[in-house]
Amino acid sequence: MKIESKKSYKTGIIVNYLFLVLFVALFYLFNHLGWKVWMVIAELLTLGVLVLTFYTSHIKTGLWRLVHASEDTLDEREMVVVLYALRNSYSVFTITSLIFIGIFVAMEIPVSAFGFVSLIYLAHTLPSVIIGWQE
Amino acid sequence: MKSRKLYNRIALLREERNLSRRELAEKIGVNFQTVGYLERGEYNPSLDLAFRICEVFELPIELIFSTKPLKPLSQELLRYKQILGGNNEN
Repeated sequence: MKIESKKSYKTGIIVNYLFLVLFVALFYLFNHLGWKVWMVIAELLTLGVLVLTFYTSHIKTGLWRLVHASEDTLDEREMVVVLYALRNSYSVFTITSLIFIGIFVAMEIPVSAFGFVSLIYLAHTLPSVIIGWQE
Repeated sequence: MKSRKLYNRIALLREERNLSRRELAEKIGVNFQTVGYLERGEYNPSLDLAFRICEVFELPIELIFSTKPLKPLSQELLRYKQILGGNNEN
């Protein structure tokens, strides 16, 4: 990756994860306050940015395809890179999940299916983020 | 265990044979980006891949890969010639 595209990639990833946190936080906040039309619009806008940055950072760069490709289609270097990313993302995901669940338990908020979906999103995107960040 | 850095002449041989990275990648069965990583010494190939590279260039493995920085190919060939010359004299 060239320095400029690497910078924009990193910015895209940071924005993507910030909006993921915002998306989850707003969901729980609005759920607590009671949904209104402007809240739905705000949540949809957040989702829009999340999808857009997901497309530019994961799909357009080809990293999503690399991480999710079958072993037969990868060469030996790509397999080494993917295995390294999967191993590291496992550690990062475990720590993040513990923090996430810890916050919810401390604040006595029930972890809904929505929270789990966000964690699954994180689990699936972390390997490509690790590759993109280092390559 | 951390592997040692391997030096190679892939870039030199590829250019000498007028092969693009994509063409060489196709011949050895890897992604063209992997050829770049190999040339820059950022990735050490497996023994199988190293032999596939040797088969493409039709050269012995020690002329393409080394654990020490490589000398110019002309110097290396001269050394081989001297060894062979010495053997013929005996």
